[in-house]
Amino acid sequence: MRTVTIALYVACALALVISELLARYSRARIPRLADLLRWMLRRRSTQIGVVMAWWWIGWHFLGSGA
Amino acid sequence: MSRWRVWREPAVPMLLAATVVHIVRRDVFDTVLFAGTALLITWDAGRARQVGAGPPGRAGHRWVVAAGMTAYAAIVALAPAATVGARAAMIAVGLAAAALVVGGPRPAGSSGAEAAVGRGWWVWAAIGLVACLWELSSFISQQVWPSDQASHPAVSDLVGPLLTSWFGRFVFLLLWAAAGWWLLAQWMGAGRRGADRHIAAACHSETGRSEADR
Repeated sequence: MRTVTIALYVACALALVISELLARYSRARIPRLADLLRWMLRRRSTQIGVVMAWWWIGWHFLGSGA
Repeated sequence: MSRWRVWREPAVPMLLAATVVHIVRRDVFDTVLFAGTALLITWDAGRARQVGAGPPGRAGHRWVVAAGMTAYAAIVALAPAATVGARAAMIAVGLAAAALVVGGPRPAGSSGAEAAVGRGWWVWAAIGLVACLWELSSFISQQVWPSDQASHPAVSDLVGPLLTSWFGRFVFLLLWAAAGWWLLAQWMGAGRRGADRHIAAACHSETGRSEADR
């Protein structure tokens, strides 16, 4: 079961990379991650939420030692 | 009451859902952080703010920034995780980010990226949702079968061992800092484009008025 769990995490990471490659180099109607983020950051609530989420990732692994 | 409209936007419900998970985790700091951010967004929505071009400063001087981030990562990585030094370094960055985001001007409506996004955003949302649900299922499995935690590792369980060495922490911090800088660059891009549209609309309106006066 551990292998399956890890495999799905790896699959998600690969899906992110493949999506970005498709967005950049194919005609697929997938936006680039940067475009998506700029679109999301139109909203003030997203600005605050995304910055907090970014900081929390650093804190979670190095600050709290989780 | 208009400030409560912000609760209809995705950020607040997502933060509140994460708060519930942190309550279940019995992590007081994370609970306060996520719930506090939802309240901060609500408070911020009620403020009369100036429309502008993203945070102050500009995302230039790439080599200086890269050198600064590398030095930060190399020095902070000297402190093991969850030590006073590591926490102080993270909190310093957090306070700077909070000052930047709270003090920054309100975004000026939709950006030029809107057309580029189209309907394809769901691909990214689906991947993010699957990853979050899988992480959540690992967490729940660990609660239900505490003796078999190794079979259901969370991302923290997999990444944590990599951060026991200086090199692991250095790479993590460098990637984290670079992600933060990239985020800032996108934010500035969104604000700048929004502000450009705002300024263009104002100029257009002014031109129209001048034509009408003539």
